[in-house]
Amino acid sequence: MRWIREHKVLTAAIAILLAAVIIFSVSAAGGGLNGVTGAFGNLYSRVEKQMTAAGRAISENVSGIFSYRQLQKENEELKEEINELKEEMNRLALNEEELADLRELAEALNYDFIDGTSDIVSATIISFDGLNWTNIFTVNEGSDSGIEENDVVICGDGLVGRVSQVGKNWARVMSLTDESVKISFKSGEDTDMLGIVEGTSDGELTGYMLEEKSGIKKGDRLVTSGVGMYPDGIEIGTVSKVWYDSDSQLTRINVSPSVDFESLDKVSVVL
Amino acid sequence: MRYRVIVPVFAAAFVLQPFLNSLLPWNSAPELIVSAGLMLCFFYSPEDALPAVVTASVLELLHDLAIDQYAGASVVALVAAAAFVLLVKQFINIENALMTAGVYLGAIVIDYVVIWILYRLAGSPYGFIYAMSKIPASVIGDFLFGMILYFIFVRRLIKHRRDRYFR
Repeated sequence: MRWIREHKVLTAAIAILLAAVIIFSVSAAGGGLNGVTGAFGNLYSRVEKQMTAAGRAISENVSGIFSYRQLQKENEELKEEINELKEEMNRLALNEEELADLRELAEALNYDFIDGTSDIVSATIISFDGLNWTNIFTVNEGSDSGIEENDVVICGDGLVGRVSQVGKNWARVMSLTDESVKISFKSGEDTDMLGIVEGTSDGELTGYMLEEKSGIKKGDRLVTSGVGMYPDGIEIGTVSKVWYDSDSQLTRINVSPSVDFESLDKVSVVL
Repeated sequence: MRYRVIVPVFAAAFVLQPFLNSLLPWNSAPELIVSAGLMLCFFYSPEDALPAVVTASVLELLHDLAIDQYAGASVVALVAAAAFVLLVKQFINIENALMTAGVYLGAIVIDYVVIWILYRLAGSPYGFIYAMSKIPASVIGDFLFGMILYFIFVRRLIKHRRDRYFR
């Protein structure tokens, strides 16, 4: 006790460090903190949502002033795109008779995905974790919207990752480059070409083809094969390099993810 | 330094952090609590700097629990960086802005490196070079904020100057 009284600073530093190391070990082992994290996350996400919205509003207004011309140009381009999409929509629209047939068929098959809307939750990113090299972020929807752990997260460009933790009004998403999880894929060009990819140490993806002599080439688009947790047909990325590894006798590939994680703003969670 | 002063100031910084993160581009928002905690270590004795380090550690832990993948890594990193500052400042003249800037920059980098080591141990796949290539904007943000605090504190807290650097 006397030593502690004489070395208050050192004792306090050691106590903080020990507590932090224990909490880190529990956290790294993947358990025990969910209750604490959930309770505090619920509280913090309320504050964070407001502060992030305020910061974003100011940032967007300020950048809008400086990029007026660019915004005008973008506006014109978007108008053109809307027109093109409207035309495409007209072409693709089912006529009423076909739609009625499909509804009847869905009813007969007891297929409840036909409404579609309730199976996907759109969410806005409210914060990225404090580290610049990881792509872990928190979104503003949680278990209240039906989101559960391991739900798949996508965006317009393709596969983002999975929900790693859920609170009442928030969910933490881990990108596909943030963990060494193997993802089964097929080539977008030839669906018979199958393989496995996983994250690398430099934020890209690497993998191999299941067939020794595969016709995969640089620039090929890869989509999920539907094997494992990820549903079929979600874009993963583009092949950036192909080489043959004579040791393992496998065709290996490097893949650039199709999602630019740094510019993500909104995502969709597949329930 | 007293808890009744440091706790409200750091709590305000804690609430303000997400606002800054979304306001400033390229991840350049400074880590307010870490930067302030480290800078205060330059001006106070270890005993007096303790409230700042303890408060910063508790808030960093809460931040970790709310947002980060692994809780506790930021606290270990902060304590390591603060220990570095408290150790090295004995050998430098903190009235010399350049020298202080160098040590402060070193402390910021130590903070990031320790976090990377702990994340790597916990299973994060990212390599050292890749991780460090992503931090320059943050380091610059932390550095600028820290140096602003330095020039505020150095005039107020150092009563008996050892040179004429700030005249």
